[in-house]
Amino acid sequence: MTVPPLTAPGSGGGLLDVARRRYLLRLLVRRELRSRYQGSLLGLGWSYVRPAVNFAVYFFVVGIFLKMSKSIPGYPVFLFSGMVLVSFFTEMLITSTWSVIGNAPLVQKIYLPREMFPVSSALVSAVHMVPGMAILWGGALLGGWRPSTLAFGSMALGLAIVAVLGLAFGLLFAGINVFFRDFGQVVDILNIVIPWTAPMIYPWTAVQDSAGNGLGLQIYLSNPLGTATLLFQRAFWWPADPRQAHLPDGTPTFPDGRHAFPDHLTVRGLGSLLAAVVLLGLAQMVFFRLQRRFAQEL
Amino acid sequence: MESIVVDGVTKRFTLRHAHSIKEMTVRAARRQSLSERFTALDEVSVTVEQGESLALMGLNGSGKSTLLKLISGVMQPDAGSVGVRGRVAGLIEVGAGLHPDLTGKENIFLNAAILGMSKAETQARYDEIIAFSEIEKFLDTQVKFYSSGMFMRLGFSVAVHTDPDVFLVDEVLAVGDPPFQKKCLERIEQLHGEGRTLVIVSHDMGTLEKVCGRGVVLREGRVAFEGEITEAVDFLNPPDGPLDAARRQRGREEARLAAATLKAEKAAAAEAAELIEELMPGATALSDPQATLEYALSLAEGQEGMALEFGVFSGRTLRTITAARDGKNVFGFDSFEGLPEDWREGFPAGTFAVDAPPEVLGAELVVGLFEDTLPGFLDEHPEPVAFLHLDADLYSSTRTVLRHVGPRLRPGSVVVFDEFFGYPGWREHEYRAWTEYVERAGLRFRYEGYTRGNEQVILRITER
Repeated sequence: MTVPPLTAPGSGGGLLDVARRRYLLRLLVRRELRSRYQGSLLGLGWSYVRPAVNFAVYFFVVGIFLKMSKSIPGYPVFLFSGMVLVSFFTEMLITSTWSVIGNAPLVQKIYLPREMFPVSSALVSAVHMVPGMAILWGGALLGGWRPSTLAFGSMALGLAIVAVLGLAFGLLFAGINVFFRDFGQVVDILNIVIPWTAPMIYPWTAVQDSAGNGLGLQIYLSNPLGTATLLFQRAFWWPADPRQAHLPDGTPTFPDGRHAFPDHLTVRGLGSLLAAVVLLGLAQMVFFRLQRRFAQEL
Repeated sequence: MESIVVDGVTKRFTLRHAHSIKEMTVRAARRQSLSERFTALDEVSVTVEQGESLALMGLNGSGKSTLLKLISGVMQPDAGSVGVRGRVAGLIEVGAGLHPDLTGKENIFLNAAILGMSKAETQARYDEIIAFSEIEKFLDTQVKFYSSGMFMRLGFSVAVHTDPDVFLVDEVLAVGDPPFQKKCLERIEQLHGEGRTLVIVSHDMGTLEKVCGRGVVLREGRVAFEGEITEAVDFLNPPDGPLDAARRQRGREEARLAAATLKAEKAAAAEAAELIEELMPGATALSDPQATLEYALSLAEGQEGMALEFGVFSGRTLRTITAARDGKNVFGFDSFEGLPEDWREGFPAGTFAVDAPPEVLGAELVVGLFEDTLPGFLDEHPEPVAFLHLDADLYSSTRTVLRHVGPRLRPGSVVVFDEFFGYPGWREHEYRAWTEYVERAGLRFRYEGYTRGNEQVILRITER
């Protein structure tokens, strides 16, 4: 028999440990799904109702009353492709922020890699995104969408950016929230702003109109969530647009002739993903330092 | 080899008095401190050896639970280091990982996973966990409908089946009903017996003395005493006076004796089990002594001759024999003055004495020492012996009986020994007398049955 060495207990390997204990992660995700919908009439159906209401409000107010549908053909798909992604992101933030506090009895009694909790919350959010994605596919197919490499590539890249970014902020916020409970309120307020920082309801050209092509626009476009939203629009909306307009060289445009997407969107996407990964690394470092004091702060 | 090394560990907590900006302003204006530092552990060093069972003792707030949390990794020390070898599992407030909305079954898997078990490991121990928890009927019920006792049992069962190298127990032995507590304690002792390291926090000194070898007493975050468990108990909770000290001493002696007896009994039972496997491959296992006697009597049915019992005592078994032999040729032998000499632990000379011989219809009692009564009896009754029930307990008495009655045994005769094996010292009594007699007389016999987990044996003469 080999003798295990003396090791310091509770000095886990962070996210790597979570990856190693996938079985536990699966059970935790199942537990959260189960407990959230236990005893609720609609069950998982609620994850259809919320985006549906959200969508209806924006569609009627912005699309019809403010006539956005006129300047953006296929506005429902345009709107919904961004909305699926942004809701995924905001839900991930909210649930992760409370994930450690919500598991206080466990955190105080048994040592687990604490990254487990934000990660499982993120996965639950991912499960909640599935119905939205299904509707998006259905809507896009109705609108004339056909699968293509560009569509799938854009979708995968957009998803990856949001998942990594959401996890990074989720970890960070979960850690901070243990020490400052006010932070939960801050996250709620952030979630009012976040949907408007991405070109989800309006076209990105609206920002270009106000800020010109200078630094302001570049700052706006450097938002990884915005880039991910544009990638999703390229994946679902553009191919499904019934009146596809483009320049002679094939560049997609809006009916008014302006570019539907900023130049070099794929490169921007890869850059965003890289930034998100770096951010995740930083968040993991901060979280790891903070988690040493979780048990006594809760 | 050390299993846990706690080296110069200090742990401080910050107690914050103000939690909102308003409170902070008010306290600052009043020049009150916003927070307070509080040292829970101050340069504590403890080493626990592999397979040792250590008691962590101290009054409330002395830092016991904090130390346990540092060992389990839930908390990190501010200074010093903690090292642990292998997997740690804790019974630190069992049920922490149970979720009220999940069923008992789902919770078993979840809780086991939280404690570090894989799916396969959990499945392998699933039946054991359920049997231990005694909640089979409620496995598919949500845990929120459980009683607090069931909840606790479920949590405990999972925790004690997780195969840890180091097992931390925090004051959980005080919950549950007495039978379950006993079972938990046995399981903990078993874990200890398997060579696992135990660290136990409890205020129950009796339990600690029973389970632990060494005790560490903490006082205000420092190690105040470290040593032999009984000394640690006396240190923490000094005897009220010489009388109390003497009483404690007696209690400990008794506990030690009881533990030694229990150990000897287990060893004897194990030996008997071996004997059964080796010598009695075809023998029938019977559930209790009465069943054994009845089975033996059924074997002797039709065998011509007398039925003799040695050691009548209250006459209960003699009545059974009389009934089976139709009240013909049944004789009971006893002096009714109890054992003529000391037998095993707890049975000194004089045990089994009765005031007057019992009335047994259809059986004739022969009162007196076997040595004195047997020769005359046998002269008067020349028939063979068909059934012999030997409940004489002692080697000497059994030998006497066999010397006189043995020659009357015929092929087919059935002999029942009441205390043949399975107790400490059994090789020195009925078993020895029989083995010696068989060797001398050149008798051949077969084991026909025995009582499961008890001391009775049935054998039958095959030839002589």
